[in-house]
Amino acid sequence: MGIIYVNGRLVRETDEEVAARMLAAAQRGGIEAANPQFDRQRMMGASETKNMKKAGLIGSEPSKRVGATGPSLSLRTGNVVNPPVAEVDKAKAAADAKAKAAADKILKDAQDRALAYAAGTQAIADYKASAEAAKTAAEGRVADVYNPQETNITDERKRQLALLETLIKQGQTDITSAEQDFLKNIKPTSAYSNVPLVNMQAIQNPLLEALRQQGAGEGAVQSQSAMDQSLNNFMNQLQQQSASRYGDVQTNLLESLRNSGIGAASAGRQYLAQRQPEISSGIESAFGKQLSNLATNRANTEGDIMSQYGDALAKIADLQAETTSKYAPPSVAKGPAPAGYHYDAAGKVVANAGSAKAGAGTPTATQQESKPATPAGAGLHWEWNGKNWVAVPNKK
Amino acid sequence: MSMTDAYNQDFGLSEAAQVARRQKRSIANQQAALLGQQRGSRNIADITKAGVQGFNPTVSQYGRRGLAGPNVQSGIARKGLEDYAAGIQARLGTEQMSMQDELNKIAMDESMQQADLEAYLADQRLQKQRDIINAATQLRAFQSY
Repeated sequence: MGIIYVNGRLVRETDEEVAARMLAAAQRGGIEAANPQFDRQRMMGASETKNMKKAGLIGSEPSKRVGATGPSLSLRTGNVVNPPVAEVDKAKAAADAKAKAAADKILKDAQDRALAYAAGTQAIADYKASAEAAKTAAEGRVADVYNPQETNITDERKRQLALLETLIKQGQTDITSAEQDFLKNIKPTSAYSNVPLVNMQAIQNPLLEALRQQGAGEGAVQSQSAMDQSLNNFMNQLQQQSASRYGDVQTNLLESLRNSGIGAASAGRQYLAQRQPEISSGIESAFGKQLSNLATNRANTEGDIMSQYGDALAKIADLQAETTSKYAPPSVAKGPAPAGYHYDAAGKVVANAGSAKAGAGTPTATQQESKPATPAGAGLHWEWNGKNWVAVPNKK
Repeated sequence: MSMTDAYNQDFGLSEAAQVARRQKRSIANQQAALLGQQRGSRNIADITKAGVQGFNPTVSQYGRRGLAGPNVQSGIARKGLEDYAAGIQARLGTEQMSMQDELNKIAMDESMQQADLEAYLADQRLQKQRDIINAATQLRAFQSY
């Protein structure tokens, strides 16, 4: 539906008529000839043309269609043309245009802020994800380096303790075995027992009978024989006494050797019993020191990682603060919840339990904050995030 | 093979050598005793024989001097014959004592050599035991702890 100026009169024409007329004009002279202004200029006289120019309805710019009640599309430029305004409303129109321009600028700024905020938020999220990934990878490398070392040290410590236990037990066994073997073979001496010492009887003098026949005495012979017997007895007793004392000495010697062996074995076992906890302590200390050094190095390494991660988080926080302060959309004051709804802990509008007024599911947009207006072609649309309306770039 | 086994092997060789040496000495002692006994007996027999054979000439010597004979018994002759018999007795006693001392010395040597062997083996066994104890208490693998 449209209105066209024909022969000094405003004539209403249907959409079909408009389309047919524009098609015919296009067939006559191309795009420029299809301009309705061409028909008007061709059909109007000089005075009428002057008045139309004075009224601003025709000229170098595309003329506004008189009587149009809504925006239309310029066939020449393709721009949207606002509906015509009356002469008396020019000032208001100018003010409206100025206000619109200001509103457009505000909207453009808001769009730029929203875009910048979204881009900044995305960059921050990417940065944080990258920092997290780097931290995880570094922690993995640290684990790869230090976990096997910790395992090796712990295993070696256990092996050393087990070896110590084995050697101590083997040592105790060997000592006891050696002691038993020694004592078994050190028997009481019999070297000086029953020494076959000879104590000969004095030899009977073969001349005694002959002496008697010659009337000679036997006194000197008997005296000599008695003295010899006495010496024999003395020597025999002396040698028996010596053998007995040698036997005592030998017995004492062997007994002292037995005692020495028993003492040595006891000392050896006691030494092992004392050394075991000492060596165990030494092993624990040595490997504990190794583990401690390893843990210190690991802690330093992990500290470096966390320091770098902390720096990244601090930078992220700075970026977040800067992005929020510069580009975050202004917060919208939360009004009272619609009837039958309430705000949950997260600030989301949810239906009251058992409320007849509340519909099922999420409240409609009319129950939320009123959505801000967005002109067409801005590349943005508004989405309700549960708290606020947020400008979101359109998906291409 | 434990440490004691190793030491037993080494000690066994040493002990066997010492026992063998001791047995040889014991045999030598027995031979020495036998020879000493034979020598002493022969000497005694010789002294006895010489004494018996010399008695009648001594009596005859006193008879030529008129100091002895039928119905004659002088004090000098009786004293001389008694001294002669006592001298023979002294020689027999000396020889007998010498033989007895030699035999008893061999017996004592035998006992002392046996005692020395026992003492030596006991020392060796004690040393073996000490070596085992020292080895057991060295704990070389843990010297750094």
